Amino acid sequence: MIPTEEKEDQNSQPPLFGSWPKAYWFVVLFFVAEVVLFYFFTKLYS
Amino acid sequence: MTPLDYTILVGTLLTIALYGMWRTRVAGDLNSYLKGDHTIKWGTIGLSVMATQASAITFLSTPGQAYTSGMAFVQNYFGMPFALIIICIFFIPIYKRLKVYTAYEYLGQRFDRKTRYLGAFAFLLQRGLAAGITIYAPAIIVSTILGWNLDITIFLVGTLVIIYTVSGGTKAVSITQRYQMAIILIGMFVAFCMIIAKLPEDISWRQAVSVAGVMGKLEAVDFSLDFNKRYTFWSGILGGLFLSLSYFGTDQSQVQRYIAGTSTAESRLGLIFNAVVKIPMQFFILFVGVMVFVFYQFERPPIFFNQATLEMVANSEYANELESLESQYEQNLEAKEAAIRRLASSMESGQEGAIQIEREVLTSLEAGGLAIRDQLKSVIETMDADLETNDSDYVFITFILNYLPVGIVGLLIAVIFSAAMSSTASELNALGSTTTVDFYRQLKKGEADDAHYIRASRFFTTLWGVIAILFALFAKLVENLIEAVNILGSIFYGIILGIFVVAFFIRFVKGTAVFTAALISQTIVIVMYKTSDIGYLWYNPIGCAAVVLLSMGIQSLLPSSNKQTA
Repeated sequence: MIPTEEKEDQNSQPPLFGSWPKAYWFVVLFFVAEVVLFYFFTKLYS
Repeated sequence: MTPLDYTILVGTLLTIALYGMWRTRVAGDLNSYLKGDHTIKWGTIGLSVMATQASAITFLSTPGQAYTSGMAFVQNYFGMPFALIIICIFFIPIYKRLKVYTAYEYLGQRFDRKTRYLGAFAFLLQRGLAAGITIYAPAIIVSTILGWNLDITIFLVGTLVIIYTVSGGTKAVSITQRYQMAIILIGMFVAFCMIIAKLPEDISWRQAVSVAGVMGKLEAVDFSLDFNKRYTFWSGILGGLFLSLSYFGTDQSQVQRYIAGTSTAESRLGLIFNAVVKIPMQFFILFVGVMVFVFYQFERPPIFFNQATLEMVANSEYANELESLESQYEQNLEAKEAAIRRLASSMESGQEGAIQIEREVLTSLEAGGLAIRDQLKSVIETMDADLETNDSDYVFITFILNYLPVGIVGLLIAVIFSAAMSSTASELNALGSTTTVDFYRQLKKGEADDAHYIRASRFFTTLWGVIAILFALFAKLVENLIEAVNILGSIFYGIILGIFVVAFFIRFVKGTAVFTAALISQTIVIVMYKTSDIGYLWYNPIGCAAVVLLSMGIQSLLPSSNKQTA
């Protein structure tokens, strides 16, 4: 049995994003946006 | 350096260390000493994780790397966000639920005591040696450039880190790292602004960036599937994922930073902060290096940035060759500057034909300049094969000392030493904790209270600090020591990651199987290292894959009684 306090800790959600999957998706989308920006940056100046 | 620079340098380093000690002056229990009493929030965790990873050499080498090879190195970090997401999902909840002090304690709970010892021993061996290099590497560069005594520099920096790390434990490390990271970021931003301000008045910001682009320094993303290229999008995603997973997920110097969080959510947010911020930060540091490159197109850079080596050549029988090469290099620089100004003017007026011509001229001149530098490197090698011919680590610090104003120089030297101290503090903190929790507490007979284990942890942290200082002092006597430490790390890292991958994802494998597989895999990797010419970074995936596959095979061959209890 996992104590209630521990369960609450493990299930606690992040601020702003609402849920952890949304936070992870934000990281992935941020990364994609970075790569796209870097790509256009490379193209623009090379 | 002026007295004001020394005041800023010493004042910054001492103030941060003393503040960390003052904030943690009240002694707590063992949990408080090793895990910061779970009072550390995500912002501090995020900066602490970042400061642990960013050693002084990051701020010396990265701009120098951009100066010589451009922005492509940023791709090396592309796998890191995905590795941190995996750690948030799988690693952190388990570490927090089991309330472990070290990552290897989890191996003991998941497998058995011998596997825990194996993981902890591999970490101590690898990180114990690396801690010495973390102090040595910036000290040798800064002392060479500034004419400081290397031994005294190593001793003073190492001792200051030992004092505050031993005094306040994990919380002191995290608190000091927060301010050290702030100094690092402020210092790099100030350096960037100063470089831009020092560009010639007739060269606009846009022209400066365009010049860097024309000269091939701004290629940040390369999607080609060329395995001979060192940095591509694909090698960054795959290699970076692998390395980041092993470093952030299983290296106690990082694990100790994020398990110190108030809650699982705080620990995760600290890592997510790094997943978002790290790549732009590396991009910015590389961009600083590119701007230093543009700056040096209008100011005469030395033909070789390590002045100590250059002086050795000047005082040797190769002095005439050096003089001749310097003269050729000067002519090349003059021609290049004129071509850049013509290019900037053509860009301003939008003359496509002229832009293309100047672009070709510049490419040819740049290749010519590099060829002259290569000739000098050959001369240095002929003169003394032991001398380092890669001068990229000296590019940024040479710029700092020669072109930045009084006060800012002190701030930027403080940046370099803050980075060295923040990484070393995490390493010593983790080494002391692992020795206490995974070995001393397990092997000690009889009960002991928290105060006893805190004293033991302080003793072991001090001991590792002394070993690191001695290793750093000894480092200059051994050829290619940094590479030797990197090779040693790669030989062990893959095996440790393999054990953790089995622990987290392959539930049917038990202790005896994974322990045997780890020993066999380690033997295979060592034999491969002795008998083949394969690049040492490949030992990471090979070691990890060998542990995973062998442990599954061995487990399936074990008698059913072992499958239940092992």
